[in-house]
Amino acid sequence: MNGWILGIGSVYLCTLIAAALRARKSNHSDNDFLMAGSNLGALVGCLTVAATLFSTFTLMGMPDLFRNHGIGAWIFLGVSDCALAFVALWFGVNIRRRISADDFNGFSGWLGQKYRGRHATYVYLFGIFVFLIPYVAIQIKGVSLFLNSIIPSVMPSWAWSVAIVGVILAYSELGGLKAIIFADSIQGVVLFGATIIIASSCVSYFGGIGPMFDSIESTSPALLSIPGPSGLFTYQFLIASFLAIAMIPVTQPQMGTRLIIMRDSSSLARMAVLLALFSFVLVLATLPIGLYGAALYPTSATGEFIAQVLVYDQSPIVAAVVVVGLIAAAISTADSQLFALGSELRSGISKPQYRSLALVRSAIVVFALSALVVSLVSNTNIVLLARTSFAGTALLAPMILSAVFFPKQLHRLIPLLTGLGLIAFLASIFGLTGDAVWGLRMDLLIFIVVALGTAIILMFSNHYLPDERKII
Amino acid sequence: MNSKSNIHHHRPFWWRVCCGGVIALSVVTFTPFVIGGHASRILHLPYSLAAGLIIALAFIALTIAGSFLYPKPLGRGDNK
Repeated sequence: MNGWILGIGSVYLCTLIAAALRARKSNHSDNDFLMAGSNLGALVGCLTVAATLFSTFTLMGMPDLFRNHGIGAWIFLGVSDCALAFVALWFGVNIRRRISADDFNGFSGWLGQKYRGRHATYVYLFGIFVFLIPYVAIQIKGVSLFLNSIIPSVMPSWAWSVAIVGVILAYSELGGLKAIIFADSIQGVVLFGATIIIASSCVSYFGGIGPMFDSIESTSPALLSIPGPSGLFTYQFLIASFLAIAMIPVTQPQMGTRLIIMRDSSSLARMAVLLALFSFVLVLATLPIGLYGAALYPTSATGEFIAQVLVYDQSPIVAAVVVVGLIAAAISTADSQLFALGSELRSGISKPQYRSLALVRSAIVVFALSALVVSLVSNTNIVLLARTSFAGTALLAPMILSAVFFPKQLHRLIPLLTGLGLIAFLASIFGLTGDAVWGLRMDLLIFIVVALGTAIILMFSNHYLPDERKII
Repeated sequence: MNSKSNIHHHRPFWWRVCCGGVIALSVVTFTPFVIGGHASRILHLPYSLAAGLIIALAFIALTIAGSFLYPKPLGRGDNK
């Protein structure tokens, strides 16, 4: 298998280098480097959005969720991702009416303009930095540990982390967003293909879909109902997760930027449809992988189960594709987020003379090294922070949506309320407050308070948009 | 008269119907119709999974409908 990994991995690496060099040659302006020329078609748009959305957790985390907590995982991610596709269309159509791709250089600067003050910029930057850096770190750490467990003789896990960050930095610095989007497209295809192949082999093991559920019902019937054996998928957990995931196109800069740089609205619409279909099939394919684990490896540790089902139970070539696909998944999710962080930092700087490409390049290096350090020293709290990063960034949604839909009614209290919400959420993560208040989960309660508070502030701002800028 | 311009004029209505449909589906997802300790099967699938698949397919159908019905930009704000 090592030979296959080496061969397929070399092809992947050479493709990345070639793409980065080609992108570098075709980058003639800052806009080309930062916004990929604002010319994304539907298929490439779908693949790059899917690649930033579906990280290593899709192939490593989702099967484990199905294995341990049952079919409720479909509501948790499958239904939420299909709703996310519609939100991408809805938000994309509306944000494109507000922002022209030619003028757009990031959400942080745009929010500062809309709220007529730096406070909105700072709150936005704080939110994305605090929640995205740990998420990037855990991507790198997760795949490094996995690689070290299946091919321990090559190098230690910290060296894998350094190598992955090195690859990310090399082609991000060379080719900018064009190179990243190309890498995303490769990853989207590889991840999708590998997941479908493994899912098919898992269904074949049971002898069909019906026998698969019969088998699980005879051994672990609680996996076939919600909330699952350990009661994880409660109503509140699922609602909070749904809101956090569905709001990703609104709150995460790497997603929002891709909606804006689509070639035109028709491409955006087709991209949303493709994304919905892609998400449906991909998440559904992780179900039989998880149930296969529930049947064969019910008590194994997560890492052991993942290594068995993804590598040791597969043919050498499929296992090698999976390994390279996981590396690609970690790289594509991490590089998109690091690049978005760099772009947002540049966008948030008020004086145009300081907004150079060199700043973005330097910021990406600093953020990548920060993520590397966090991945090397991460502990349980960091893992927890990464898992809840979507819920944290979701708190930015009311502030951003207000700027899109009610630009004449904005008030500086909205960013202040959002900032307080972020701090309260962080306090709850680190155990400084309780997990629930009045029977409500803290993340759900904070989201409701921020959303309702924003709505009340907007209601008391008695201005209306001119007809031609009405929301749709 | 059902001319092309009328269809374009009414598009925001149907677009809003799609948006309303998504909100309604989101609410229905988190009711006992979908989530709960159901033991029955639909087409060999556990009830909650089958219901969740139907909800997800409905979201996809609304996204497809929305991709035709969204109000087209009048030039301003569209990238190219």
